Amino acid sequence: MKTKFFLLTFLIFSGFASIAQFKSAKIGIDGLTCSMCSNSVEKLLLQLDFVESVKMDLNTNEATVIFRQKYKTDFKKVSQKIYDSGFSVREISTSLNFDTINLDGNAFQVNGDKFYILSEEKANLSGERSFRFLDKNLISKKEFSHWSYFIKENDKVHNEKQKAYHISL
Amino acid sequence: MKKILILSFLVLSFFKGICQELFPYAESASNIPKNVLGMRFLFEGYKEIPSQRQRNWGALRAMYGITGKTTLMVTAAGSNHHLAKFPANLQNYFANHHQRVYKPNPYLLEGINIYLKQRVISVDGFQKHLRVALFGQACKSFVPHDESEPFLMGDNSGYGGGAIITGLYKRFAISFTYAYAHPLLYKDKAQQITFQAGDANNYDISLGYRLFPSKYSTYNDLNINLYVEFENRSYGAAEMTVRDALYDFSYLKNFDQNVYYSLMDGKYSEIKPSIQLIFNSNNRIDIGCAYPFYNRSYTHFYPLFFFNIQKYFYFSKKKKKV
Repeated sequence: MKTKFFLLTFLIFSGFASIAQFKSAKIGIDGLTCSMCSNSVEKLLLQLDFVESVKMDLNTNEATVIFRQKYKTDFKKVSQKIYDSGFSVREISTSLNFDTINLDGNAFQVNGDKFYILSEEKANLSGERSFRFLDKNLISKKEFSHWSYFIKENDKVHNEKQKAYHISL
Repeated sequence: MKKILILSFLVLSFFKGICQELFPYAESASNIPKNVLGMRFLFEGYKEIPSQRQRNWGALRAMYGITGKTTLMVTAAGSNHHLAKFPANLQNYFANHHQRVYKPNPYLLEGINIYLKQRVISVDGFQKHLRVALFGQACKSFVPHDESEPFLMGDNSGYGGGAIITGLYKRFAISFTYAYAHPLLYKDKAQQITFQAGDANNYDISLGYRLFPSKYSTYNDLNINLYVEFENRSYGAAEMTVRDALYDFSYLKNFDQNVYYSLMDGKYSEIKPSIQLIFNSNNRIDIGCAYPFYNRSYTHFYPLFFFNIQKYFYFSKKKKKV
């Protein structure tokens, strides 16, 4: 009985530890100027189950998205909602607390997804650090083209279950 | 010359101002967002000359985003522009139906239009974009149209399509539309009448400018947009047969010249200035009018007034509470 209880608490806590590490993200959106378009983007982002709230800056077309705790954050779904609204992603940036993350060379894992750091040779990370994504549709087409060769090669070894993200600090 | 000066002034004043591409008349190359439903009520009215009767046209349009790049629109239109069938006395009808002595037309369901638009090119930047879309449309009409110029929004059964190029830069938007329309032959078997309206080519230019606000504070800010749209159209002559014999319209020259020209081929340009109000970043009202700029359209009289009311409906699932 006791062992079962301990096992259960351990499982719950380990579950908490490995999920919901992303608190928020900033999304720069291209191709719109008026508040009616921003309204559509906000309404579509709120349809995602892991999105708690969205704050739109109507003058710079930047969305600040707060994520719900205990839900897995999927940045590719975030990007898809921007394109479904009829617009493009300029940049998505977020942050993590790297004290609890084990770096494996220039890569690390969060919630089962693999993150590759492309901007630095050997990253030395600690504390809260922000970064931006370099993957297709998570950054402007122009900037993606700088990184596309490596990202495409890397994407081949990943699938829907374990997504690969590429980031720049 | 005066017209050209006014036109160039309008165009220049727009460029100087350097959102807006929610054109009241033209469709822009952008789309309604995925899984969002838009509803629009459209109205057009003018006074018929010489009868001074009010002629009204109204339509209800449902717009749906199948994907972020594909929009489907279904429009049902009604008006008091037509009779349910051509009358037995055609000569009296054509010569006098714009006169006060002729009995007024009833309100009828004109037709149903289906329109599909696909965005094929998007180049987005910070507060700007350049987009290209292709579209096709088809209309099933329930009334006999009696003019050469075709309208696929109810007047004629037929099909058409074209391309749209839209540019947006900060508060200014410009759009070019090319559209081709092919009306189908109207047949009245009982009376042995056929009516073929002409094919039409449209080359439209639309300009839009966000007048207010220059800077947003909340979604509740009232948006005021100004538009000037130029509709340039050419179309072929109408052809009518009665009991398999070609019907000759030339006698109409001595009666109502407007009716005579409305059956011939033609080309014209119209200018459509309008103002748009958007409340709470969703509820949209457009009010505008149309004036002839070069020749004129014989399917309606001037000034023509129009207004649209539109709203988007967003569907969202209820989120589970944790």
